[in-house]
Amino acid sequence: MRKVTKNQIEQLYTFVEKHYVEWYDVQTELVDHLANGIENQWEINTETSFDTALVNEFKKFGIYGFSDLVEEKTKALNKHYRKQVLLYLKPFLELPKIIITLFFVWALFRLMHFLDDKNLLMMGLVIVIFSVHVFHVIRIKKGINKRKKKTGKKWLFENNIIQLGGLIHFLNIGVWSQNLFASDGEWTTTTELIISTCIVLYLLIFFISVVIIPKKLKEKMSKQYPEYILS
Amino acid sequence: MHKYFMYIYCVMKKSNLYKGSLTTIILKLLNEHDKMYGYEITQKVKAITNGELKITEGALYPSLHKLEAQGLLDVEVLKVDNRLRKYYKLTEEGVKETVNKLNELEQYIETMRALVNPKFRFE
Repeated sequence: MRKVTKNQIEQLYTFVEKHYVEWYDVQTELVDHLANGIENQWEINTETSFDTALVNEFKKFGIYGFSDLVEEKTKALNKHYRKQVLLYLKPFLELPKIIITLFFVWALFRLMHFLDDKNLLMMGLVIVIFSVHVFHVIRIKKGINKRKKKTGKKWLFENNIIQLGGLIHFLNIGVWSQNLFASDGEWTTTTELIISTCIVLYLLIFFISVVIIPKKLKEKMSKQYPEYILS
Repeated sequence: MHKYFMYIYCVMKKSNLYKGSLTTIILKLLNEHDKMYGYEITQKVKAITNGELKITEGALYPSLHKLEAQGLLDVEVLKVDNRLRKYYKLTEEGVKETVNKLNELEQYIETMRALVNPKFRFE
């Protein structure tokens, strides 16, 4: 039976990339699918050329080609990311870990309560969170470029890590910062308690999204794909 | 196995209704096999339904990726011949969901049958 050669597999990777799929984790599945389809055509007619068989297979993906597929995959990955964040957040809202959460809320509340200039504390928090976020994006991008240079491969899931699975907008501290600064300088006990709780929850989600999930996803990917190099 | 696909085939032959049941079809197939890859799924469905029900590539992969994201499918990438192949298999949660989805589908088919052929209910 006629089989797709190693050289033709490379051609398929180039073909898929030319059709706007630049991510290796998506390319691999499509290349195998196309190769299977081509070999299936060769079972019926061995004389069919590789190019003709490829065109026939590609037509089966419809007029939008692979674009819908990448879009849907991105959505699925984002959803998975957010689901993972919730999964890791849940224990912090249940016993026994909720005790730690409540302790941090109480500690922040006390600190806020005794500080005269609360805006100073808020300013410090905003600067730290913003810096960590920028550092995270730079580190991930550096890793992507390094891997691309070393292996020539880009991974869709890493792009999701930069976007924090779509949580990047929610976790954009710039959006929330104006709410953290009390314009008239009046902070009631209730305000302090609400803000302390919100900040602790925000920091938990931020920590899980930026530190825990990327690490877990990279480990999972390196187990699935031997080509993925952890660095 | 064949029974389910013939039900699906009878109800959804040459229509777009199968789209809503694609998830069930995938889960059912994976429940019957240890692991499968995308192309294999399309061919299997085609073979079981004698070519009448064709899963399009544009619908299959988004469904597989959604199920994977939901934690119902696990992935294994293996080198086969000279290329990498992505295999899907059911997770424990996926096995439970398959049972639920099949029950839902059977109920739906019964309802449809009762609607199309009301006498059927009293026989």
